[in-house]
Amino acid sequence: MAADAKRIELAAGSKLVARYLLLALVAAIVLFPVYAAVMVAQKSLTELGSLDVLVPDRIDLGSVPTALGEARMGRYLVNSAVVSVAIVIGQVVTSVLAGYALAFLDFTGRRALLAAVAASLIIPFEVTVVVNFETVQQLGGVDTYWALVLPFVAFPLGIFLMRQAFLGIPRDLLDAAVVDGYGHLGILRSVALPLVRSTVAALSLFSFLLAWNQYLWPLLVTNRDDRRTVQIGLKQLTGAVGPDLGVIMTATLLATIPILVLLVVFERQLIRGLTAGSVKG
Amino acid sequence: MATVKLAAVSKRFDGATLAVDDLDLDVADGEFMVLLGPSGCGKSTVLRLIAGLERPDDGEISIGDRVVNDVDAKERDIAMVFQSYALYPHMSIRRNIGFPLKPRGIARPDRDKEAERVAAQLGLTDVLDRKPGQLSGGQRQRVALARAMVRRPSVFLMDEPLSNLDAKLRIETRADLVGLHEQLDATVVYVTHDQVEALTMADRIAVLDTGRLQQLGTSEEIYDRPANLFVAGFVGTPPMNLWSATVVDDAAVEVAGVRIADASFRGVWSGGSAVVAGIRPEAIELAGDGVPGTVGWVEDLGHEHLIGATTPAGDVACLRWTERGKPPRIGDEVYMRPDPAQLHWFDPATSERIPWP
Amino acid sequence: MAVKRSRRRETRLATALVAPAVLILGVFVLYPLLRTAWLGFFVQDPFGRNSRWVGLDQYRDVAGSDSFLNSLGVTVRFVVLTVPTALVLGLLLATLANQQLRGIRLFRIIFASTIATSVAVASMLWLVLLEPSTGIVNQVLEAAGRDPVNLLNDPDTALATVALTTVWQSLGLVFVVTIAAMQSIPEVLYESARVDGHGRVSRFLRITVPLLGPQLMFLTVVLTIGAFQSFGQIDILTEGGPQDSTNVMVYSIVQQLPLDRGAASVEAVLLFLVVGALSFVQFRWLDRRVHYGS
Repeated sequence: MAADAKRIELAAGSKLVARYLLLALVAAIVLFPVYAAVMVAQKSLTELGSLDVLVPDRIDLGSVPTALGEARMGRYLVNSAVVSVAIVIGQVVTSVLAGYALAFLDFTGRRALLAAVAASLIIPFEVTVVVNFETVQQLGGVDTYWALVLPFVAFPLGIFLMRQAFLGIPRDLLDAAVVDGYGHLGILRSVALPLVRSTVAALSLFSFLLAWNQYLWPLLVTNRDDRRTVQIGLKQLTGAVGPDLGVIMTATLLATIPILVLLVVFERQLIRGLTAGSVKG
Repeated sequence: MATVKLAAVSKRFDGATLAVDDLDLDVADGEFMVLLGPSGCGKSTVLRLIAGLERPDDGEISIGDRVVNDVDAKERDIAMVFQSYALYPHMSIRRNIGFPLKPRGIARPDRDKEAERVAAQLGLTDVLDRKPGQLSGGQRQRVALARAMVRRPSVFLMDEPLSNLDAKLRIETRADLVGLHEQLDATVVYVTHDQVEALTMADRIAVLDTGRLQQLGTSEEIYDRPANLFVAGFVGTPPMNLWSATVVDDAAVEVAGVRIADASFRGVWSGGSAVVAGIRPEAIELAGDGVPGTVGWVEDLGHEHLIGATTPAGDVACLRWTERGKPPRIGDEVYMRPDPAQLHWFDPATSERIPWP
Repeated sequence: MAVKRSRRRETRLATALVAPAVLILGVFVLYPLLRTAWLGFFVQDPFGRNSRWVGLDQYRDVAGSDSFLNSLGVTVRFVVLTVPTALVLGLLLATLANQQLRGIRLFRIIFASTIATSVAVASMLWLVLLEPSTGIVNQVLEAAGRDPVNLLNDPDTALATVALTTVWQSLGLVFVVTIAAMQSIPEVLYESARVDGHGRVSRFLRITVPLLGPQLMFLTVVLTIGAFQSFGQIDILTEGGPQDSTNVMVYSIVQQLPLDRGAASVEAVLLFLVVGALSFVQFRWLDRRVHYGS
């Protein structure tokens, strides 16, 4: 009996080890590109020609200044931050205002507007890029911040998310505010907006991710280095620092750090935002 | 303080039937008026119409001597207590109570002072800095009340304010509310589906069903002289027994062939007419003869038994049995004798009360 | 709120509230779509002059052209290569991570980690891995005594390689969405299935997968739309080559943009028809979920 019990225990133990081994193996595969990047980032040009590059033999941040300076990642990061924050603020403001109106106000053209927002929801930006580029060119917007920001300041999905969140507020709370003497603007500021904070947070995070990761539009409307955002800055790296893969990988990792920080801080909102729906990858 | 007057008010929600149908109602200054009725009877809609949360399709609503049909809720000088309490979850109790003062241009320190004054009155001083989520049900209910009181409105509107409390607290709060009403000397319009609340608290009760006023009167009037079959069946626990009866000549009424009353319907009802006899459970005795019935259920309430029986005509008879000894058992044949002095008569065609004697 | 003030007053307030959104959506979404369709009716010379009305001719010509059919085919192949693969792998990761083990959180973070990468970042990581002379992939092959490869430069492998990087980048998203849903499946369902004698695989197929239906549907549409819109990975990894074997629709539109505005417009409209239909499906589905769900 005791021997049997021991055998079962052993079997369970080895099963557990097998599970961990499988998890570790899969984790290693998923993580490999990032691991390799971290290793390459710390190696000099001369070390790249061998597999030793994968050996974690030191912590060397030597390529960070090169990436930030010579490779202009510092400038790109600042540009991306400015543009992304501006887009987030714009989207939140327009979504909150329009979402509130579509949820609670009775006005001429309400149904038409809902239909128009729904239509905008299914029009991918890639389709409108031909004419938007023309518009920005005609308005002299190439290499300006506003050209990077303005087209994204209204976000159909954001408008719908906010409308849905407002509609989810218990009706009694809104009625109580009406009886307490508040008009729509007062209700929006004092009751409705504080009650949909979590949706605003999810929307902000989601829209920041989309804005930060944008590629096509910044590529089209920026030519000058001092206006480029970080994503398209990455592609220019090979031109800027030549074949120094270490600097390129450092720069690539630097482009990811702001997002990593955000994700760790706002894990909960991220899941909400993602499940609420994404159209653009 | 102020009166509230509804004149021929109707409200229809898009396409559906009338939620409020040609309603006339006068609430006197300082009166505690209860709107009583089952869910869907239109009582909450009436309250929302008075509050200005809904607009009537027809008729006129006045508060004091002012017609308020086109007056915004915030200009009506009313306060409302919601069934859900409608406390703002993101604000402290202090800010919740002071919230209605803000649009009136009262500065923060004065708002806080007023909130504290009302909170003290309701025993909420200790929880002023908490959020609604941290309060018990009874405390939340009082915060909702405090928020209504802080403005010193001329009319209080209360929508089932006690229905989310447990039974014991509900009874205590009932008494508190009556005391508060006397102390504030305010006009109150109070909506409930609970007849005990209505009977114990109201100066007058307006019984509503299908959007129409069924009866308006004091608790005694409603209980002792129900105006129609609906009120008779709705008010009273257990409800009034309603038996089909026949006028056998112009001076007697029979149920299942048994004479239960000598009634004088001369000139109004001829022999053979059908009427409905209403008898409260406490007005029936078991005796050696009377209307026969088969006992269907017996409930032991401790101090008394409730006995349910079925008459030969299929009507349900419910009666209180307060004697000592063994109560009848299920299946027993019993004979029921109603107290002739406590009978109510209704016209089965119109459901209206027949004035008698 | 039920208060219906005078409609005019609400209309004025509403106009002010929706104006910013309407303006932006009008100028940068609705107007461009209509104008793009309109531009498709004109041809012009490479300098953007001498615009000439040709009606539907250009639509017909572009839709029938070899280059358009090539990019349509490439895009569809790209969708087929990426979407099912990402779904299956992500689902497997979620299943693997949906165990009660000490330290499982660490593995969940690792599996979700690619969500932090952008298309450009993921492409740069893989570009360096696949770099022909010093990239790790060829180092490994060399160490194993095999010939070095140049996957991104070979028309037979380029698209699949780009697809691989895209799948890797999407894994985090699929994982996060599916594991969140998996954890909300009540344990009692599995216990009752176990009592009924269902094995591990049977439980996965009969309980997990059907209950993840909404999430899998959501991911399918999102990934498909994303794949149709791919641009960054192509621009960084292959620039549409070699021999147009990775020239997806959006890349083709952007290439045409400065050269032939009319043709670019037509391709954009055709892309809209495909993606618009998919988005519509997703929107309807989302709308229903928001209304009837939770």
